[in-house]
Amino acid sequence: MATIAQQSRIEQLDTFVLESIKDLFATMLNWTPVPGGHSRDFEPHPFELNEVNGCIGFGGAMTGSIFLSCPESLTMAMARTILGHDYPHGSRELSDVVGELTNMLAGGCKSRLCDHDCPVVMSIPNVIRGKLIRAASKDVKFMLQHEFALPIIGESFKVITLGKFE
Amino acid sequence: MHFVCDFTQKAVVAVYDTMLNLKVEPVSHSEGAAIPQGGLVGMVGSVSFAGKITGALYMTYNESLACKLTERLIGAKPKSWSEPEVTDLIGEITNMVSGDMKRRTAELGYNGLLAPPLIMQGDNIVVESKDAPISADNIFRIPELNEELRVRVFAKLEP
Repeated sequence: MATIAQQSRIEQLDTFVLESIKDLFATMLNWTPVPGGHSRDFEPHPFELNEVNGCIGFGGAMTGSIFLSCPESLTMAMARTILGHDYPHGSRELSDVVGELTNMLAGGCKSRLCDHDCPVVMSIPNVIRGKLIRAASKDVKFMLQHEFALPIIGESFKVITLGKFE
Repeated sequence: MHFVCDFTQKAVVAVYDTMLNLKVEPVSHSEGAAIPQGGLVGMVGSVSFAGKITGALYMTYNESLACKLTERLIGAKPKSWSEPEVTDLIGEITNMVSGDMKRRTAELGYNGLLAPPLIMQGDNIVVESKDAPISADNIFRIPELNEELRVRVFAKLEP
């Protein structure tokens, strides 16, 4: 069970994640994600990932990971918008786009955390592809799972952040 | 062999010896473009690290190996690898191997902080890391259990 201070930190991080997503999609894609399902209990539990997932780890005052989890069809739309070309299913460019967007998303969160007395460092992005991926994390104290719709292109994605404050 | 890859191998050998009293033998090693294509099959334990060394480590287990290791540690064979004691062990091993590798790189001035371990399962999990100039794939044999273990690492050293 989180202390009051930790709960406040978790709620603050929740806001940072939402702000970072909004900024990222506006800047890089000119899309407006519409928040959908959002659990408010912050309790960690096993979760499912989409087909293409950018993942970055955090270390420092907060340790954990953030996932930008997308269906492959969405990554193709992202690549078309950012790179100006169509790329086939499974191509390296789709992974590169997701990795870079995850890097920017994590960077936005990191910047906000550091500005609020929570110094963290972040890993390089890894992209995890597959089907029916289920994940869980040991030793985490919170989990934030946000689902978003993109009505402009008829797609959706999710952002999962899990970890603990030291 | 890059020292990060060497330290990863040493970390696996050391942790299995210390934690599980098991000898593991490196069987194959590849780096960079020579890493075999294809997904990671089975249960994957992963830990990210950030700092002067940044990246992630992935350890892959089939169900038989995961259950044998759990039985060896707790003395009772789990019904399947879905049992929490199995995933806890896989996460802990991955955490210890990453920590051991990180300790060795820290002695050379490349320290990093570990994120909590993640456990993943799925169909044909492929991991890519465009920004990692150092990457390695290792297969280890565990003779006493007649099993194999795959360990993959992606890393970047910050100046």
